[in-house]
This record gives sequence, C-alpha cells and structure tokens, in this order.
Amino acid sequence: MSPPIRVSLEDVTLKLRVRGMRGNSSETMTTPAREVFVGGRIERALWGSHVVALQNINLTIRDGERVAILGHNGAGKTTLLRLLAGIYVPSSGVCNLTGERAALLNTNLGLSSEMTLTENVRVALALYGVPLKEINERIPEIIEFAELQAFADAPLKACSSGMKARLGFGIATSVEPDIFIVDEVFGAGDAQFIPRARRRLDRLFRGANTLVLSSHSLTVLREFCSTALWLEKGRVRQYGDLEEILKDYAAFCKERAAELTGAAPPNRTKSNIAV
Amino acid sequence: MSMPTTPEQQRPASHKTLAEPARPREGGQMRDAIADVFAGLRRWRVAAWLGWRDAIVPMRKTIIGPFWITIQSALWVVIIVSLLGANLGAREPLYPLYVAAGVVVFQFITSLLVDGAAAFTREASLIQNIPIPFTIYLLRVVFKSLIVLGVQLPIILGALFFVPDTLSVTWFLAIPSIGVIIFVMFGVSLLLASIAPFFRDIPFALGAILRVMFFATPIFWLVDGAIGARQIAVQYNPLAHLLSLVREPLLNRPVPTDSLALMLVAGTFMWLVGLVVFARTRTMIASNL
Repeated sequence: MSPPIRVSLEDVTLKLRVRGMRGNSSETMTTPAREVFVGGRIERALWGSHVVALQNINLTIRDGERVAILGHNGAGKTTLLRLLAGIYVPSSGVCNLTGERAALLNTNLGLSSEMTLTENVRVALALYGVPLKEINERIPEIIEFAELQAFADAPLKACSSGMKARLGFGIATSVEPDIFIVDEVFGAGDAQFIPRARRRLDRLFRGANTLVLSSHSLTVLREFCSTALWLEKGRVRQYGDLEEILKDYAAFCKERAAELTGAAPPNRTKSNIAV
Repeated sequence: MSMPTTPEQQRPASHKTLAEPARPREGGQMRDAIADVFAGLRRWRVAAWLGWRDAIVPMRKTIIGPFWITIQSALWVVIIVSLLGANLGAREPLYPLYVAAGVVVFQFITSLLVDGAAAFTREASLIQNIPIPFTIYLLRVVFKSLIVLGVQLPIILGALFFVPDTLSVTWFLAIPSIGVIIFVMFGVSLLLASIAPFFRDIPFALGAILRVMFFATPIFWLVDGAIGARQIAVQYNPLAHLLSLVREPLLNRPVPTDSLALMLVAGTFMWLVGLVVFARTRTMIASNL
C-alpha cells in the first residue's frame, strides 16, 4: 500500500490582491522581443487587480516525499508553500491537506526585536502550538542548537540576520510535523551552520516526514530532496525526478542567460544558478 | 514520487480529510468561523503573551516604561479638572473621579476599537507565515488593552485623594462592566477586522470619528442635566452607555440597567454580524493582506 497522501491539489488557482496599481503598464508596454520570466501574470479589473500567483496546479505529495520547488523569481514558490501550510486558500480548485504541518517560510516568525531570545522562542513556540508545559523544556535546546547561548538574555536586535536565521530554523525544526515546509532560509546561515541544519533535518526525517523545500541553491536541494517541482509563472512546468529536472532547469537558465547577454561565457551563466 | 494525476486517482475512497477543505462550502464557512473563534479562545495564553509584548515590550528601553501611559492620561485628567472643573463640574462633587474614570475607560474602548480593527492588517507578516486561528489576534488586542487599563488604575486611585470616602463595594460592579465592554467591542472588532483587509479606509475613518467622539462622549461634561445636542449624545452614543456602565459604580451609584440591557443586546447583535462577515471573508484575508 502506498503511503498516505499529505497534499492533494486539484486544478488550484490562487490570485493575490494587488493594491495601489497605477497607470496601465501591462497594456501600454510594447510586446517584448523575448518572453520575460519574472513574476506571475497581473490581472487588472475595475474592482481590484490581482497577481495570478498559481494557475491550474495539480499536485499529489505522499508521506515521506522530499520535494524541491524551483523556478524564477515570482514563479509562485512561496505562494505554493503558503498554500501547503494552510495559510492561503485557493481562489478556485480543491486543496486537501492532511497531517501536522510546520512551516518555516520566514525566519522572522513574528519575532520581536525588543524581546530577548528566550522570550522570543517562548512566544514563537506558543504560536506554533507547542503545549505550554513543554515550552520551557525546549527553549535551552533550541538556543543551544543555534549556538546562541551567550545571547539568550539579550534582545533579538543584538543578533545579526544570520543569527536570527539560526534561531528561526531551530524553532521551526523543534516541532515534529508530518509535513515540513521550508522556504529559502539557508541563505543567511554560514557554512558551518549548513551541516548542523542538515543533521537536525535528518533527525526530523527519520519518522518518514514529508519535506517541501524551496531554494535557489542547487546544493541544498540535492542535499535534501529527491523529487522536484519546477514552477514557471504560476504553472507547473515539470514535476518528477530531481536530477532530471535540475538538468533541464540548468539548461533553461543557461539558454536564458545566453539570450540576455547575446553570447554569455559559459562559466558566467553557470554561476547564476550554482551555489 | 507521483506525477500529477486526475482527481479520481488522487483521492482514494479511504482517504480522510483532516484539515479543512480549502474550497469555501455553503454552511461550512460559518462552522469554520466558529471553530476559529473557539480555537483562538482556547489558546488565550498565546494571545496574552502577544498582548503583553504589544503593551510593555516597546517601552523597555525607557526608564519608567509603561508608566508613561499613566502619566499621559494623568495629565489629561489634571488639565481637564483644573481648567473645566469650575464650570462643567460645578454640579458634580466627584468631578475629579468622574473625569479620571472617563478618560481611562474611553482610552480602553478606543484601544479595543482601533487595535481591534487593525488586528489582521497590522500582522500581515505573521498571518502569512504561521497558520494560527485569526481569533488569537483579536484576543491579543483585548489583553493589550487590559494591560494598558491596568497601568492606568493609579489615576483612578489618585482621584480618590480629591474625593474622599468614595471607595466602596459598588466599585466591584465596575469589573463585570469591563467584561461587557470587552464583549461588545470584541464583536465590533470581529466585524471591522474582517473587512479591514478589503477596505483600507477603516483605520482612517476610525481615527477621524474617535477624535470627535472624545467630545461627543460625556467624559468632561456631565450626563446629568445634559440638554440639546448633549442629550442626544448621551442617548445615542454607544460609547456613552459603555462608559456609564463602568463609571457609575465607581461614583457609588447603581449600574444603569437600561444601558446594560441595551449594550448586551447590541453586543450580541455585533457578534452575530461580525461572525457572518468573518465567515464570508476569513479564507480571503491572507491573500488580501
């Protein structure tokens, strides 16, 4: 019997409201010489404009799968992750989610820069729904993982963005969800933090948990994922084996870079996508 | 790994949905909204921590901290009593206490109203990153306002110096009256917060109205003997009724039962309207922030 389904999306479209649109840019712009791959489609209407962030998405993720989400800026990666986290609700289509979910979409997690690290961890764990009795027990472990013991009683604003990212990662990974949804958060961690993060995730995955991870770092994706979903302007371009898709994605990026620069030196195009 | 499949293949008959299906269903919206309210109320401690963070933490860097709130309101009371007391308060022997209670309770009500209406729009980043019941954000405003009310209690106690022998058991009746204010304002906040993501004019409208309401509410002028426009303000201004529920027992007078009945009915009505609107907009709030 196949593992239980964690995520099931049927023909899901999601529009995000855009306020403060001015002018008529989408119509007045002349047709570009080449297709642009940034952002989703903007839909203008008298009663309000929207970005069509996801369009006709069909997707099934089963328990234990580790899915990489990749695509250009504005392809819909974060929107899809928020949908999977239960934050967004589709404008049309059906989205079924089962199991405990934890999302690390942003290392801020509603943290307050004036509160100490200990206080922040306490509030963040409470927000995540950790039972109050367990919160105090978990705080030292999280701060130790982030290697921020010396800052435990300092206000968060004394921490650098990388230190905050460590703390946020520590908090989100201290819960044991069935589905773990992570958005580009490794960026801020330093080189010695990545192996620590990996060890912690490995431990988390031992219980056949499901991972959905978005990152521009191919190394990180290879490290943690086996399946990939390639989004392009809010649509699924490819969904399947990670290595195959990474190959196609790299070829696509190289082609695009060549278009942009006329004839780009191959090593330069590569640096755009590799870590 | 599985490729995108047809809906039939995706959902075996045995597959049971634990999370709420995302597509809005008729009838299900109200159930989900009520579930959100109960889930939020159950997690009141989180709301209390967030409220404490809102009220106290920003003032940590200061020397006297939250007592700046006390000083600010105390100055209002002192100025009003010393400048207007001789004229407007001539017929009220307890005028300093009358004004102190008025200023403090009015601030409590406006804080519930203004912060409550912005409860969702102000927390876009939290709402878009951690899925928790929306009701927690409204409850957090209640706790924040209660803390601010708490640090202002010394003003009311201070007013007792000027009106001795006023402290009595009727004071305790002010406590359930605070509960009535929270009940009414929670319903109003539920309504306003639910439409605020779609109509961004609400905070500005509230700001404009509440500034005027300070004068249209019997805070520094007396309810007794109010005639003309003042009489209309006393009768039709809901803030005047809410204020009198708390202030009258503090002045050793009975809680006005007509105001109490009116506010309980109005509060129930606001809860119903708030719930209906919240049920309709709840699933669209996050994508409209």
